[in-house]
This record gives sequence, C-alpha cells and structure tokens, in this order.
Amino acid sequence: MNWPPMLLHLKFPTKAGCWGLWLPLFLIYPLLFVLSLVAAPFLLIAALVLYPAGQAKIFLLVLPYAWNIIFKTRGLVIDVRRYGQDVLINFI
Amino acid sequence: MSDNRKRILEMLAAGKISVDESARLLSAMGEQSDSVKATNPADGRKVRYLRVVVNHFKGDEPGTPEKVNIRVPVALIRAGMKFSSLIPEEASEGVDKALREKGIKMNLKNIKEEDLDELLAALSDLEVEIDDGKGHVQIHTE
Repeated sequence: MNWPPMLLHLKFPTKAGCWGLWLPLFLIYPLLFVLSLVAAPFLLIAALVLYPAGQAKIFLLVLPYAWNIIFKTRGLVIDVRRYGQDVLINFI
Repeated sequence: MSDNRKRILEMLAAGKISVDESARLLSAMGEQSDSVKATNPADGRKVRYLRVVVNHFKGDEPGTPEKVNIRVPVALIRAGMKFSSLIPEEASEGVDKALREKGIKMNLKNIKEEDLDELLAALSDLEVEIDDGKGHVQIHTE
C-alpha cells in the first residue's frame, strides 16, 4: 500500500527573505475524509441525474481519483532556487 | 533478439521442447512485452521517480532561476493520467488549443498508460543530458 504524505514542507520567498513552513497533512486527512463523505451523496445524485447524458462517469470517479492522487504525491519535490530566493514544495 | 527468445529457440533447435510449447512460450513473452512495466532490465529495479534537474549558470538578467530540481513519483504521473481521462471532451480540446498556441503540439487524450510505461522503461536505461553552454538539463529516473 502506498502511504500518503504525512508532512508538507513549504519554503517561499518573502520581502525579508525565505519563509519555511511544515504542514502536518496527517491532521488534514480526517477533515478531507469528512468532506468527501458529505459530498458523496450529492455527487451520486448528480451522477444519476446526468447518467442519460453520459456524464455520470465524472461524478462517480472524481472522488476516488482525487484520493488516489493525494496518496501518490508522497516523494514529490519541487525545488527552485534563484539568487537566494528559494521555493520548495516537498511532500514527505 | 532478446535473450529469452534466443533461449527458447535454442531449446527448440536442441529438441528439448516441442514446436507447440515454444509457440506458447513465445506468445506468453509477447503478452509480457505488450504490458511492459517501468523496470530497469539490468537489475530489475522498479522506477519510482522521474527527476529533472536544471542548472542555469548565473546570467545578467535578474530573477533568472539558478537551479531547478523536480522529482515526480511515477505513481503520481499515472494517477494524473487516470484523472485526466475524466476531463470532458470540450475542456480537453481547450487545453490542447492552449498548448498549441504555446508551440506544444500534443494531444493529451492520445497519451496512454502503456506509452508512459514504455517511456519510463527506456529512461531507466538512459539519462538525458543537455548542455547548451548557458545551462545544463538532466533527466533521469530513480
């Protein structure tokens, strides 16, 4: 099983210099899960309504695919350094 | 000719296997190559990340990026491709049009997961390096 990222390390430039931030993603996942549970019935209703038009697939699969992307971001690193102004996005 | 195919044909020539068995083995190998996984054939290591490193030598223009280091999990690329299959036709045409205006002639719908597997399998054997004097670009898999 692929574990989702637990932490997000952000670094971005400010007027004073660079500012770093560690986000505990493991605290955000329960909130996202609850939001998914709340949104699921509405997505299901939208899928049933749009099924005759052939657009149901989007509403049925958007939540599972979105969670799949979240689970797979672990290890993603974007590191840009320019003249002392660094931008870092690191999913740990 | 791959080593496995050669071995099968050698066994057939030596009479160790029958024609039917060799045909079955060769067709089984053909099915495996159709769904090639992104592995390094040398040591069987699974390709997990795609890394792009750009080193730009200090120029005169302020704000020019000096170094870019991007590491993308291969699983994320696959998940993104699955997600892109949900994009409605009208939206994907708009994305293709915007890419064409930027000079990128690419149709997102034509990119399949099997193509990605083949590309990553090829990248596992080689490393792309571009050096134009102003900067150095390196693309490899890990």
